[in-house]
Amino acid sequence: MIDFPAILGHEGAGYIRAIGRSVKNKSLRIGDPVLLSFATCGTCKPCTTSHPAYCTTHASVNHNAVRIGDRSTPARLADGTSIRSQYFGHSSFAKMSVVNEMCVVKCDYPDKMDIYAPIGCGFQTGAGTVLNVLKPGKDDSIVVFGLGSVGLCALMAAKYISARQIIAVDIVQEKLDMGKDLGATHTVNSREQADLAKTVKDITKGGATYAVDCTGTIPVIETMVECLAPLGTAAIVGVPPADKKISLDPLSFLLENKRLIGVIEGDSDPQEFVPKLVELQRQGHFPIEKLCRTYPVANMKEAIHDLHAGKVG
Amino acid sequence: MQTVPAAVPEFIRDPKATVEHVEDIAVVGNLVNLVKGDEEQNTQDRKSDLKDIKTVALVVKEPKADFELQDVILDEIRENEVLVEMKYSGICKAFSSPDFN
Repeated sequence: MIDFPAILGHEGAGYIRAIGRSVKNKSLRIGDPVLLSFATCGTCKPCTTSHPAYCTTHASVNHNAVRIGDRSTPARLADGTSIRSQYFGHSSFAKMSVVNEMCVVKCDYPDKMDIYAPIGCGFQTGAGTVLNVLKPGKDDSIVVFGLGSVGLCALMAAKYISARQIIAVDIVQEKLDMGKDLGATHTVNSREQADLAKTVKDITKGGATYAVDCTGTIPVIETMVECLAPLGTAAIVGVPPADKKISLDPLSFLLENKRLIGVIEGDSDPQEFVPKLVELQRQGHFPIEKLCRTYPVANMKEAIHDLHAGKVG
Repeated sequence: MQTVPAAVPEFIRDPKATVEHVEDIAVVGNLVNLVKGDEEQNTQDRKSDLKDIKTVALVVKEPKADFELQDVILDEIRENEVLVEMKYSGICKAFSSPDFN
């Protein structure tokens, strides 16, 4: 999907240094602190009906890392080699970046910009899936598989709207402890379960009303469907490997009237949802500061290693 | 909303299509209005070219390669774009593993 060389990074936060003449948001000023989110085509049906996260060209518009209109890219090396540099419209692994206007959300609280940066993707994905799409009620149960930032944000959102049971599933004990700390009513270490679906059904007395997979792994997605109660909805949120398939039993799926949906970016409209999450953090309902660790650019390798080792969200 | 032709081109609709990418378009007379501080947006247009901005970035040369900090040059800012000095960036596991793509 993406050509190389490329500059990645899609959860940027920084200050505006220049503004193009026809940028539509006329309230932007040089020096404004901003958070950066995903790009959209702006013309498809979801884009024009306030569901920009569901843009039908989301994958290519964001991952191709080139401008939408003419496929050009702003960056090049000194020797002229072109570098793809509009990843998600903004390529944030750079000191300065040329950003598509639609990715820009004003940040009213630049003092905490470091923890607000990931709202642009990971945090709004987890929180949005629960707050915008699934919306568990006070009698509902929700299972979250995978306690990275996306899963933990889904958990925090579920606690915020007072879901009755919030079951957190992971294989790393520290993650499960964090899940408990952030509001899970039950934690399950899936490595210790012979039959994970049965464990969930026992806890929920019949199955979960909602389930969210944030692992993107085939066996977990399949188990997620098994865990549902009749009429339950499961959301695929974590990115699965390309060209792999899941298998499910369509007869029981039918007889139990289950739903399986894919949700990109938590169906978020960043202009409205990013500020909302910033507010929730300031009110203490969304303690994302517990998920973040800041590393200087020179320690990028260490940061990525810690991310994959599960040491940081 | 982004002004994009209503008929979205084929290569955008198919994310896996391999298409010749257009490189380094030379835009003649790029007009950028630098809005400073509290100045009204509709003061006379200042035709200043903001081009060839030198900066540094973490570049990935090929799939599965490491991130390397390198000098890069940004060609220009278009009229629907903004130049942002990045202070922080999140690293998302799904798209930062060298195995992705």
